Amino acid sequence: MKTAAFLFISLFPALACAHDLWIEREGQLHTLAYGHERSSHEGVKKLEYKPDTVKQAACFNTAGQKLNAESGKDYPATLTGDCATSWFLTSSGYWSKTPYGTKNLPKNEAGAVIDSWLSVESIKRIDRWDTGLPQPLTRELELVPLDNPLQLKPGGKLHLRAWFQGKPAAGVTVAYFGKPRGVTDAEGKVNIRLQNAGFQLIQASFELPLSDGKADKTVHASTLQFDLP
Amino acid sequence: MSKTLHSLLWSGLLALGILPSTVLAHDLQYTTSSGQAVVIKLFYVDNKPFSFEGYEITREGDTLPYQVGRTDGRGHIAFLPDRAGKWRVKAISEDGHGLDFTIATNATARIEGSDKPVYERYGRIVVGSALILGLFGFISLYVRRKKT
Repeated sequence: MKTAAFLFISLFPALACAHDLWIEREGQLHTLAYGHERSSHEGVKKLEYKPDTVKQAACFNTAGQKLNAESGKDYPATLTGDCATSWFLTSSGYWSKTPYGTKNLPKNEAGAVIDSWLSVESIKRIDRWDTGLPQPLTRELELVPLDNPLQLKPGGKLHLRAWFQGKPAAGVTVAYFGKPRGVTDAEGKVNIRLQNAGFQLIQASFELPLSDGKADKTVHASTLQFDLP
Repeated sequence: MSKTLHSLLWSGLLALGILPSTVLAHDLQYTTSSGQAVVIKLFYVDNKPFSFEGYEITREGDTLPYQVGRTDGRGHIAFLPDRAGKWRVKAISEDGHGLDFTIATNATARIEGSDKPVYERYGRIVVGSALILGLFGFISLYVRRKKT
């Protein structure tokens, strides 16, 4: 070895960030939050989003029936109601990857484009459970627990099924706090072991080709949120 | 000074290579060399490169970044630290993906080996050590059995 000159591969913690959606609840008020989720060692960091990125909001009872709930259209988006499950659908629109970075533009407006996609993202929070909830509540990509997730303990296994357009969705990548843990099988099923107590965030995503001239594909993402005792 | 004389003077200066420094200051030059650089590779969990995204590298204690730029098409950053220190690397795309981490270098950047992730390199060391230990265990068991 010629010189003792080195790069010390550091063992300093690396903070990976992918911005997340989650729902905060105070009584009957459900507020959509965006930023770095609560599991991050740097703590919660909320980022402001454009209110028009929130496309839908819905409130369901334990029978899986949609309830009338008041939606707040300004930032932050809110939903007020006695929801066993609250749900928001967002879309940040078209994205294009270019040699000059990723732009929030459709590919026909972004110049030299390497890849392009339409982003559609939803978040579902479960606060109460009953027999009506092991079924999809929407036609968007949705993670549905097969059993009551609120009774699980850290180390327990969560049995899930991914649904899209009313059908079980196969080949959906499922992550636990951003780290991929599995892919759904032909019946849309996947099991995730819950490692942490308290706040839980399970994310799913998959892509579908798009031929609207504005992007090559749609990236559907969905987050399931609940708390363990 | 007549116009002709003025032109002649400038022509003379040009011929002699004597030009005002303000002109020279804008005349960019370049050199090439093969130096040692810290090469950082950024990629997603599915191995897709974090390509063409913005980054900045700031030395610990400094307020201004030491280097800013974009990752290349394969998600690489080449970085030449000018001194020993800790360097904070931040790379974040507009759609919200990114990393924020710190590396330490001594006076010169020199990487022995590949640009594989740290865990992969240490993982191989651990597996290699386990294989060697296992082999020794097997041999000593064999020798002991043969003695008895």
